[in-house]
Amino acid sequence: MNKIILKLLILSIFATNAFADNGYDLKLVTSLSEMKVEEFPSALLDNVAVENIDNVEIGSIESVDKNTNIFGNTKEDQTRYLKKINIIHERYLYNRFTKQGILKFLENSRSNAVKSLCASSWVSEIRNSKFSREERHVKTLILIMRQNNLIDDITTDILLKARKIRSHFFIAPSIVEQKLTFNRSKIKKYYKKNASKIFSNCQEDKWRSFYSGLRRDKLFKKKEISIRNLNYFAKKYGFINKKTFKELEKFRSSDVTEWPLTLREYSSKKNVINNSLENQITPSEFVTKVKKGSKRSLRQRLYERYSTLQIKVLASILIKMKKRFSAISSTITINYGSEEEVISLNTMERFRMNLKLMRKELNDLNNTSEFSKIRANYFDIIAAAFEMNLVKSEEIDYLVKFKEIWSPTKTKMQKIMYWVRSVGSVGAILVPQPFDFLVIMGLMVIDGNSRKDKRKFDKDYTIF
Amino acid sequence: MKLISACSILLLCSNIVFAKQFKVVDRDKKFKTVIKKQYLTDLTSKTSFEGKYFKIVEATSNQAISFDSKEKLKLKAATVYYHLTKARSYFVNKLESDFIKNYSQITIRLNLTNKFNDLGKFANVKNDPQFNNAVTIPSGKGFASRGVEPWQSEIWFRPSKIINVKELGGYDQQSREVKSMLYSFRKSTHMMTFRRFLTNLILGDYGNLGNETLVSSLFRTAGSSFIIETAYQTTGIVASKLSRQQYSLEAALVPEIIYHEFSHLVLSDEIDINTSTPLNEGMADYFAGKIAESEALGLKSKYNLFSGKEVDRDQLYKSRLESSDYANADFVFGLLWQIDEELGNNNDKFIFNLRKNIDANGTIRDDLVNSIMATCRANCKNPLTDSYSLYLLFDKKGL
Repeated sequence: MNKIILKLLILSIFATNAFADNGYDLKLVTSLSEMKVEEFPSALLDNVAVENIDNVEIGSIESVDKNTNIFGNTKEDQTRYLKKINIIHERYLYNRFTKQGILKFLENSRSNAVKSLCASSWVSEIRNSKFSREERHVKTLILIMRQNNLIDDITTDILLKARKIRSHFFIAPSIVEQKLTFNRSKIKKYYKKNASKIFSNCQEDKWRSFYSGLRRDKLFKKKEISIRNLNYFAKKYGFINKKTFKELEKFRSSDVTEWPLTLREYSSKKNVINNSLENQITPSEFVTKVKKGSKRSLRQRLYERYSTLQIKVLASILIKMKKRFSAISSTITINYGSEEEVISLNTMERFRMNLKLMRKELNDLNNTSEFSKIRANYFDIIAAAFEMNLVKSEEIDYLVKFKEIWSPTKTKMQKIMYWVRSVGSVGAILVPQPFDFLVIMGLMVIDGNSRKDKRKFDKDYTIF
Repeated sequence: MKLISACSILLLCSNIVFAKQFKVVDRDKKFKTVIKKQYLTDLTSKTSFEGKYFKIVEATSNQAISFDSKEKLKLKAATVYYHLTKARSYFVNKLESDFIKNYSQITIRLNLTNKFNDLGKFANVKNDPQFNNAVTIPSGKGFASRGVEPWQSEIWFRPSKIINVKELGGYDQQSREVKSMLYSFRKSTHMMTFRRFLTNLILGDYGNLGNETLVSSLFRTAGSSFIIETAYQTTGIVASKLSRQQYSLEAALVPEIIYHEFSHLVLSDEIDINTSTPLNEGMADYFAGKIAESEALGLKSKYNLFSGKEVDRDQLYKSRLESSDYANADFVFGLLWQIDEELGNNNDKFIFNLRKNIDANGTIRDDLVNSIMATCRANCKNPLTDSYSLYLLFDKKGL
């Protein structure tokens, strides 16, 4: 028994080592940065030379009318939502009304939305139109807008969420009032002052600001249950009337606070980030496609996670790297005080140094308090630069491939072979002689093949 | 008037060219060398291998080889003439090389063993006779006091000669290769035997065995190590017995060698051909491959028992590749070919333009890379993305 345990122990040591080498790991982020521009430390801006963004030469392009096109799609392909459209509903709408008529209405609704910047109002307009006989048509009409590039993925996502804001049947909370630790006077004051604002323009924004006020004043501890109790409590003691209560509950139960972005936030970010070149940029699949195992595209994630200034800072790292690529020469100077030694870098040393510098700058950025919770990665800086129209879509494929240099992707076969090699080299002990030769030969073949893929070249001739 | 007519007729006659069918060595669809009947075009002589652009002579003679020569010599002359015409057409028509378009008749020498001499063109034949290769010689000013006329660039094909592999140190090389393959097997086997021995010792397996079984087990362990060690140590002898014993090369009968030498001549408008360097050899290899429409050079031919060159040899850059000893390695050939693929096929002109920026005596990792990037800035369709693509390729190649 002891022998088996010992052998298993040896095997487990090798297995642990194998797990340790798991290659590149994507940083998962849960919180959305709420950093404001003025809060950004000037030292960080100096560090990444944000001012360079404005100096990047991008040629003269005709300006576009941002006001009507702010939600329009210019950067995304249509693959994501095309599959979600219900063809039967689409055909029904096109047969009953004309396609031209539908698109004209949707275009008008977009123009209205540009003024209101409110997803719930936009959805209401669609819902109340003659084109939407049934609730399911609302979704189809939103997807038709996306299909025809009247809106982009992010706007579509917001509208589809806004579609779900509906009144729900209220069930009184089961928690006994005495157990709640609410500060009655504070709650009364807050509800009396703010609750009625929910009826003003763009309710989702009002609800979110109402909710963040509750959080700021620490009026509740646990998110959902407590806020439900709070509303109930406020209604019961007459701080709000039944109508207000119903409206508050409508937004609470529709998870509006969970939205990563509202239409107003998106438009304000987009206005700051995008410049007049927008229409000249061809879509990039890499930035806008939702990858396997992820729910969001890089572009969506960019808008949802980062503030406008953060996006600018991220983009500046890539722009700096691009600028360095165009350098005629690079040298390293070793200063001895009385004399200097100047070492010239060749083309490939310059290239690798530029990539190293970019990674260092990204790492430095992630070590600042503003980014430490978010941990931006290389793909984020590509997405940021693309969104700011500072890189072209045709460049992106190559920029993405650069990552292979410092973090090569392992194929499935390589991963399997790694395991076979790790376990097999220990397991060979258990194979009786003379069959162990076969195991060794098999391991050698695997080793030979995996060595082929390793970038194992003589590095003595190069500095970087 | 008569004089003018005579002159016109003479001029007209000088422009009359013929085509005649001969047996030549060519490639079939499977890239194997076969003897085929092909027309030789642009011949200006009805009796010898002299044409508008090429004159094929034997050794140091200035007379074109006659159509009545011995079959083997005729085959060589026809093969060389045929493939040179093909190569010329590629450079004139596809790459629009004015240099070769305006070049006067080129002399091609077969079966010449003399070394090249800067002053007298032909070195003494007894002084280190040359076999099994081909060379493109630069033009020379001659040596008037010794009666040596100035000469233009020429292509010389050496006769073949069977060489024993021992003279080339081939056994050592093969032995080293096989030994390096066996090395890791030997290491792994010894390590595993030792590990098993330790495991059994720790777990007390040996204690449970009877004396007889224990001795037998130890002998078996030691025996297997002994067999492996013996196999490893005798690798050299086995390799020498199993490998090729003799080598030879009939350069004039390998199409890609003909293309390679002609490419040297075409590129000599910009690239020095006085010495053999990795850069000028690699450039010539690239165009030889392009003319042959093949990623392999000199392979699958009974006229070449040496190894050929291939694009797909997955080799990474090593600093030793810079030395002239490795001038004929296929690293630069592979690199240029891959550049062609990276930038989109049929980029022959890009590589042809590259010659203007290349110093034949430069290094691969500095001069060649710089030249390629400079050529790309001037000639690439999308300089920015193409330069990214080149960076990635160079990095992949270990540069």
